Amino acid sequence: MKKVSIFAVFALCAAPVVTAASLPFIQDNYPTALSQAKQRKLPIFVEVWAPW
Amino acid sequence: MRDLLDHADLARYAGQFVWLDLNYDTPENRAFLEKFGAEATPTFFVVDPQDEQVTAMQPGAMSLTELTQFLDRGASGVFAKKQTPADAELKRGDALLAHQPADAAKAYKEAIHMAPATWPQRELAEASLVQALQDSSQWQPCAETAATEAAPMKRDEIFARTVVAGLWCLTSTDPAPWSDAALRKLEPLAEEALSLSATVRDHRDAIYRTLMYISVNHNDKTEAGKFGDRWLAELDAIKPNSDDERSALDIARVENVQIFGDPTRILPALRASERAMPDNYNASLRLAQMESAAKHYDEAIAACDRGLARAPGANGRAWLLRTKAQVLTIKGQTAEARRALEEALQAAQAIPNKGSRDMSIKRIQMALGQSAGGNKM
Repeated sequence: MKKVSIFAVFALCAAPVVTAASLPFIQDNYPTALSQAKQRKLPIFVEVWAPW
Repeated sequence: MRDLLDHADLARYAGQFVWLDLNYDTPENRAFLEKFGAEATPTFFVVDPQDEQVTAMQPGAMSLTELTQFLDRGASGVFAKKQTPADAELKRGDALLAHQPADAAKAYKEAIHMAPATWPQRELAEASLVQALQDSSQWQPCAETAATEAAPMKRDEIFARTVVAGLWCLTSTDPAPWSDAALRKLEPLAEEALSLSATVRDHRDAIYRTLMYISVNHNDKTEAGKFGDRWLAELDAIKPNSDDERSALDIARVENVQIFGDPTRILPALRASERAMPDNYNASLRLAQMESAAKHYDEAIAACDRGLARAPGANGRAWLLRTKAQVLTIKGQTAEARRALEEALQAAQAIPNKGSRDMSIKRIQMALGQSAGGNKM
């Protein structure tokens, strides 16, 4: 686990998006995920990650 | 951890959740991060969309077993018609953990207190309690609770997580009788965790690094070196399956050497990674920093230049140029260093994330000021 710090040595700004093969991930859009989850009556799984 | 989400065993969960990936650095995700909190990466949440309440929250990497249990727990928090009081307190603790860890610790304690001895979530709640004590900077209760609760636990991922959190709390304080006593209990448990195949790489990394920090704090560099060598040997034995994994291994190597060790020990691996990932400027940046630490200044500058040719984006460009300027300054090439810093400043002004932009600009301006004053950057 990395404690988040603005002093992170390898902080990046733009990062390649890695999509899981088997799971239909929505990228960087909580409002869309929330809307879909309400409509489909499903919980939202959220992964917060960093490219460094 | 990212590779784990590709695991075939998770396919059965595909239709049971809406899946969301949030990059910590993407400005559009600020609102979520501020609302739900995330002080570490990775951090995982299950959110009930009806009231936007967190039903499960976990900072840090998980094994496949832990992840499936986490998904089950999160879904149960959304769908279960009636939860036991202990389950409800556990869920409340998870909802509080990000923003109010001291209150989360109280909720976890209450869950443990009210649950029957056979409660299946007991060890999870104990691990979460230690995490909450760590997150609320309660170092002594954290380390002592970890030592007490981990000892009788089943030897699995939750056990390793508990030991890791306890060790981090010991690194956050100066040596004292209470911390030495906790260390005497936790260190053998850490060795047990390292002997388990279930202990994920992030936890192994944390165990070795915390033991190194603690050894350095006790002025025992020999012991720090031994832990460092053990971890580097393990890292060298891992064959990365992806660029993400290769990068993670290299970051672990660098962080290891930054605590204590010889940077030349890891240069071959970093050089190999730079060759293996020809589009990855971070691989060049890591190499440049370690070449510099090894006093290979010309090689460090060359690595910066290779990174700059790898389309690094504004943040990466600013970082590479600042690193190059530091090395040029050490070499006494102050005019070239200043030019690199001026280019770095220009790049930093284009960083989209305000926090990263402000911090980068501040650091470059500070270096420019020192450069004008003739001081070392």
